[in-house]
Amino acid sequence: MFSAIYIEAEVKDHPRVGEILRRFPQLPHIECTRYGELFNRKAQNFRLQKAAPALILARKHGNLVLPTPAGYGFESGPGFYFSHMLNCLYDCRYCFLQGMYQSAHYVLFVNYEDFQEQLQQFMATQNKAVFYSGYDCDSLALEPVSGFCRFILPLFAQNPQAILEIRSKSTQVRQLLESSPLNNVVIAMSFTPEKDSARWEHRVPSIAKRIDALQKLQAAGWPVALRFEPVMFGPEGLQPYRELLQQLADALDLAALHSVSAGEFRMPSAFYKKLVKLYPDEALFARSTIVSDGMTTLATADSDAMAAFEALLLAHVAPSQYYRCA
Amino acid sequence: MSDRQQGSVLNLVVAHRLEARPLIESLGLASAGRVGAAGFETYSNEAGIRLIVSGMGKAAAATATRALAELPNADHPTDRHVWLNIGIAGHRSLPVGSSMLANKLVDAQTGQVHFPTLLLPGPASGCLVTVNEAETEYPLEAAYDMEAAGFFAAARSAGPLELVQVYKLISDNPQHPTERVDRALIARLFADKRTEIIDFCTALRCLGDDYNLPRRPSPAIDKLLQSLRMSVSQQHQLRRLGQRLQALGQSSYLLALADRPPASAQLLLRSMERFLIEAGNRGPTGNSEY
Repeated sequence: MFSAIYIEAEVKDHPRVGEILRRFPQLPHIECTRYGELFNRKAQNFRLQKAAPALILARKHGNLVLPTPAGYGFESGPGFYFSHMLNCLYDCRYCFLQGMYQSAHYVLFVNYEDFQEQLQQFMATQNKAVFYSGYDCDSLALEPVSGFCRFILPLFAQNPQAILEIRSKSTQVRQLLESSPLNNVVIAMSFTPEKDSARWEHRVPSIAKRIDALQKLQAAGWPVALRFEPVMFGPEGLQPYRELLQQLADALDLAALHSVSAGEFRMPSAFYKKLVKLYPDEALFARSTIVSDGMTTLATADSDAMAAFEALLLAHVAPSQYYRCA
Repeated sequence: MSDRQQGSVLNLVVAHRLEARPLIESLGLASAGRVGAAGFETYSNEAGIRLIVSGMGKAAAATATRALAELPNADHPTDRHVWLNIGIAGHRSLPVGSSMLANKLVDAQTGQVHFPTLLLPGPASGCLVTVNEAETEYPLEAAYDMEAAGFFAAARSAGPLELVQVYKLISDNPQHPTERVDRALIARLFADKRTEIIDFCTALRCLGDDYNLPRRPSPAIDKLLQSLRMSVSQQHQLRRLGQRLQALGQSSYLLALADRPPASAQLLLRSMERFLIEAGNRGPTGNSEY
C-alpha cells in the first residue's frame, strides 16, 4: 500500500501515529522534521512517485477549514472545505492534484481533534453551512487506515444544521453502513463512462462496484449524490453517458438523490502545463485546449456538447437536483 | 538507429578503486579516460553505464558527480541520467556483508538532511550518516560513510530526485572494526551481492526509462530539426507537436512529414497544428462521427 512511512517529529508520540505504525511494521519508519521537507521539495516527479507513494504522518497547522471558491458546491449558503489528507490513493490521469502538488506521497494529518474544533467554531457561527471533504484527497479511500470519517461523523450527528459532503470514488463504505444514516451527511460519488474510467481512472473501483456501494448506502438511508466530473467527450459523443446514466438509473432511485452535478474538464493552466510535462505521451493531453482566464479546458468539436449532456441528465433527474460546477 | 544506446544512462559514483573493480568486471566496463580538473578515472560500456572513481570524502564525491554530469549524452541529449552511489559503509548493528539503501541521508558536518525516494525493490533501507572521518563509535542506529551526502547534493541538481539512489554494503561494525576491512573483504562483499547490485541497477535504469522514453523526440522530429531552419521557440513547438501526434497515434503522418518537409518551419508548424485539431476531433480511433 505504501513504500515507507515518514513521521513528523511533532507527532511521533501521537497515539494515532502509533496505531498506524503498528499496522505496518514491515515498512521503513522514517522521521522527518516537517512534512514539507519531503512533500514540497523541488525536482520531484509525481509520475514516478505514483508507482510507490509513501505515507507521511503530520500535523496540520493554521486554518484547517477554509471557505470554498465562489460557485463551488450545491448550496448558495456559506461553503467550507477541509482536507485531513493531501493526495489520493487513486491515479486518475485527469486529476488536478498532479499539477498542484510536487509529490505523489500521501500526507495524513493526524490532529483530527483540531479539525473537529475548527469545524465546531464554524458551525456555531454559520447557519446551514456546507462542509466539503475530498477536495485534496478521496475522503473514503484511506478510511480503513485513517478512521477519519468514523471520528468526524458524530460531530455532524450532533449538529444537524450543518451539512457534510463526503466526495469519493471509493467503495470503503462498510463503516458508514454499520452506522445510523445521517440526513446531513451526503456521500457524493464521482463517475465517468466505463471506457473513460478504464482508460484514465487507474486503481479506482469499477463502475459496477461503485454503483453497488451507492445502492447499499441509499438503501440504508444515507443521502447519496452523483458527480459527473470531469465530463469529457470522445468520438462516441454522448453515447457512453447514455449507457452510464442507464446503469445508474437501473440501480438507484434517482428521484431520491440528494443532488447531481456536472463539470467539464478544467483546471488552472499552470497545473495543466505541469500535467503535460509529466505525461507528454498521454492522448488526453494531446487534444486541443482552450485557455481562458487562466483556466484550461478541452476543446470539443461540438460547442453544444455540454448542453446536450445536461439535457440528457435532466431527462433522468429533476432540475432542482442538478447544478453545474463553476 | 539500431546502433544508438537505447536505455537511460546509469552513472555510478564510487569512492575507491577497490570498490570500482568488482563493478567494472561485473558490468563489463572499460576505461573511458579521465575527466574533470581532478582527473577522475572513468569507465563505461556501450549499454550506457558509466562509472567514476571519486576518491574519498564528500567534497570529492560531489566534484566527481558534477564532472560526470557534464559528460554529454550524444545519443539522447535531452535525457536525464540515473545516479547511484555505491560503496562500503559501517553500521552500528547490521552484520558485515549486509546491504542497504539509504532512505535518509544526514550530513554530519552541516546537519543537512536528504531523503532519497524509495521506489524500487531492493535491500532493506535505513539512515546513512556521512562523516568526515571514518566512524569507529557508531553512535546512532545508522550506517556511516564519507561520500553519500556530497554525491546526493550534487546529483539531485542534475535531474529528478527519484533517479538518485544510494546503495551501501556493510563492511564494518562494532564487532568488526574498520581496521579489518581489506581488499579481500571488499571483493567478497561485492561478489556476494553481485546479483542484487545488477538487479538494482537494472530496476533503476528502467525507472529512468519511465522518465526519459516518453520525452524523447521521435527520429522523425530529429530529421525535421535537421532539415529546416528554426528558432529555439519553433524547435520547442515542433517537439511538443510531435509528442502530441505520437500520443494520438499519428506517427505515420509525422514520418510522411519528415520525408517531405514543407518549405519552412512556419508552414510545418501550421500544418501540424491543423492536422492535430482534426486528429483530436476524430479521436484515437479515427472515427469522425462526433
